[in-house]
Amino acid sequence: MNWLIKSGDQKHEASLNGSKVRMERGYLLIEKDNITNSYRINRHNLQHGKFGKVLTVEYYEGVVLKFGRFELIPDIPGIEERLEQALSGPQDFLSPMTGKVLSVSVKPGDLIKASDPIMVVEAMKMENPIKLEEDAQILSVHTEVAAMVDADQILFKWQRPS
Amino acid sequence: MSETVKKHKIKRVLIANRGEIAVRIIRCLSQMGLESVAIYADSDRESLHAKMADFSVAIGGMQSNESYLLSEKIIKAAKDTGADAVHPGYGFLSENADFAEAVQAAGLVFIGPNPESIRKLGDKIAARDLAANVNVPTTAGSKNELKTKKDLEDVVSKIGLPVILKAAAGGGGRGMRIVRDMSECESALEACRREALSYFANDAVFCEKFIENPRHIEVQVIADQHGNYVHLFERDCSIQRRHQKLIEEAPSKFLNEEQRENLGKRACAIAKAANYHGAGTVEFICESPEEIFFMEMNTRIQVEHPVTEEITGVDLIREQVSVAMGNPLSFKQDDIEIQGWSIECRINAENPHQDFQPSLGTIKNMHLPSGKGVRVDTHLYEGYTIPEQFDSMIAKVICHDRTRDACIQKCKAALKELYLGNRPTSVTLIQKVMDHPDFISGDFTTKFLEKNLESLLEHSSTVNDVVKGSVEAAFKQASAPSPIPRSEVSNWSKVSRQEALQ
Repeated sequence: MNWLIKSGDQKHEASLNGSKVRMERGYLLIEKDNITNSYRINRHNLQHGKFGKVLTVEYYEGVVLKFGRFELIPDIPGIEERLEQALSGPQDFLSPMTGKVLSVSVKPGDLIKASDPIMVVEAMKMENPIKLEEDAQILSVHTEVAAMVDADQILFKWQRPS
Repeated sequence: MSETVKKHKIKRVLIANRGEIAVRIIRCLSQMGLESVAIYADSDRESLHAKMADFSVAIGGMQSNESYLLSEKIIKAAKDTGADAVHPGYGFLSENADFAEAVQAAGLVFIGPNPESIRKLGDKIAARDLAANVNVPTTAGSKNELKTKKDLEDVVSKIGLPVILKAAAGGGGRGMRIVRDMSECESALEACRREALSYFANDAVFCEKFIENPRHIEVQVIADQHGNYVHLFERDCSIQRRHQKLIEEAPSKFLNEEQRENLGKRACAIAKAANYHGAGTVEFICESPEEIFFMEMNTRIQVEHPVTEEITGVDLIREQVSVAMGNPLSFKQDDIEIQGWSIECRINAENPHQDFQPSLGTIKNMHLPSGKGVRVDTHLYEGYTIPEQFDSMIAKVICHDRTRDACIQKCKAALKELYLGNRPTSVTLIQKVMDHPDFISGDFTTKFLEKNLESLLEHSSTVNDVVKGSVEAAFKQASAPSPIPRSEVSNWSKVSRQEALQ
């Protein structure tokens, strides 16, 4: 059975019979029936991007787990439908880095297209444009120009346009 | 001997152990591209080895006898996780022939010698016999089990007093009694047999001439299943207290080239006579370099194996796994030579100033020394709480350098750099030992630590002493008529420098 890594958004707890999942000191530990599978999770061990196949699990039933900006979902039939359902609700967009907000180009209610500029966050003397990879409706904005933000801090909330 | 050796495909190894050795084995397996399975007691739920292994199995229980000593639980865990081999580590069931047999009966590879070799060498009387058969000298002693007081008295009349009574099925310094006077014979024998029965479920007892002031020298042997036996030179483990080693080194300052070679050959002869394969250690006891006697052979990897690894460049755990797979050794005796010197310091969570009482707690902050020739084998991590159910060794600091003196300096620097919070450990004692002229000169026996313990501990001041001394010095200064010159360092900074050096 495979786990999928999805880079991006909100944590979704799928209601699957589960294994106990915990993250400790860079180890992802998935426990079922007294047997635990351990995975070393490092930034450099993971593949970025949408549905990169990374890990193999044998003894679990699975949950969706989020840590940092990555989402871990089990590759089992029906999971994508379930995720779709969850993803059609409101989602948080988390800052990818610690830095300063240079510009905010949206306000609540705005409808944007994929790759439209939403914000720019500056860090280490580099400007990082914040965009979404799909069309969205901005629900609320939680920061402002010149604000200092931490990695994983909520910048705005959005959902798929109805 | 020329039967075809079966090759075993090993992909997933269960480590029937815990602590630093479990971490060591898991790391080695990872380096070999193999998978690891850890087992852990409830009291070890937060341990590093359980997180590091690819798979881990909760086997329940708090104490060792509810977990790591339970053969059935271990074998079940191996089967449940699809492991194909078991590495027993040291201690626990590593020298238990029944366990080795059970592992094999379950269709798993036991990473160690044959159960028969374990059994033969585990019987100290049989082992002495085996040594005698290959002309390796043993200490004078009884050839057979001592059943009656008369048996003991007969032996004593032949070899003289003092003698030491030992359990034939024993080890680890347990079930031993020294007899210095004929009048003690009966009671000593009875007590020893009782202890042997209770510790080892076997009341067979034998005796040897007791050597008052010996050195403990052991030889590392590695053998494959193709009849190749190689020794990796000796280790000197004479710095010990109540049979617990504190500092070990390789090689030994006690032996010259010829004695070293001789000892190595004898060790291989013993291993060969026992049809041994895997890593093993042949222990010798000696009062003088000319009189080195076989004591016993340990049929497992030992705590202090790293010092041998450092001077020879051989990864012993890796060789153990490779041999278990049926591979021949990847080197011959001529390929192995000594490079430099290595010393291991055992860091124990105990307070030497308070009769070695355990010093437990959570490691909130930790800094481990590092650098060329500085190795730390440990299972500690920041946030880890040392469980009280198991032994107190929490880390091993192993240094390597080109000469013994340089190695000692390196150890001292490494121990100074080591930080494990404010808890007392064996570090202070080790530092004092390393400053002792007898340690530096190499002129020490197994009596060294006991003999010097009081004075070693006395000279390491406590914080209170330091503060007291500095206040006194400050008062003296204050009452002196002459002004304090500007350039003079204050007593507080002088004293705090002293403290930091301890």
